[in-house]
Amino acid sequence: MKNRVRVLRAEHGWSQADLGERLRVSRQTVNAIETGKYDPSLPLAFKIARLFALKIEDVFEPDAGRAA
Amino acid sequence: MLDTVLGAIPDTNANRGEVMDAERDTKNPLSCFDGGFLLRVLGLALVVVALSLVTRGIERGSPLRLTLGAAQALVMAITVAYTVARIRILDELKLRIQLEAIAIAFAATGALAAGYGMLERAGLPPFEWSQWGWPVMVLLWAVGLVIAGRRYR
Repeated sequence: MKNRVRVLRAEHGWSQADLGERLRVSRQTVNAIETGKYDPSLPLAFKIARLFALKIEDVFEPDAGRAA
Repeated sequence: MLDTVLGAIPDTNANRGEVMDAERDTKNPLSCFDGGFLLRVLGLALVVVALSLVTRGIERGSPLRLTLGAAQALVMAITVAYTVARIRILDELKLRIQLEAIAIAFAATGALAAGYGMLERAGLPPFEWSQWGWPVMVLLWAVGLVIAGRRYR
């Protein structure tokens, strides 16, 4: 799953630690989400979208091969 | 686009420090549990081993030996409760890493026990699992953390 978390975080001028603190997750988790190595749970994905005041589909999108 | 946006972040020493900290955090799969936790669990495992060694010279069935046996069981129960409590406070990625690490340790311990059991029947000296089983499991758990953590570097 692709996501815009790194871009959105950068636009807000937050470090990975800052974002992790706001989401109550570790920097490792933020880093793994940003690099696409870990797909967050639905509750965490909603939390991320809500934090950036966006819809979940504006932050996350499925890989081209997996799109329905 | 991404590079442009990221380039807009001032490249201060503080930012460099944060990036380095983040990289260190990401590259350390054992950061799921801090060093203090691992030392405490290893300490508890050593207490179990030490108690086991102490009981060797004491007559079986004696009150002292039974008391020491109960103390070993209590230490094991404390270890389990402490570990579960620490796991519950982890975030979802670290929970996944822990799950994978515990699965690896579980399977590896089973394979090791079964494999060595066969070698024992073939003539190798017996291995005292009641004494060394937990340290072996903790070691394999740490190995599992390294293996599972590598996926999310």
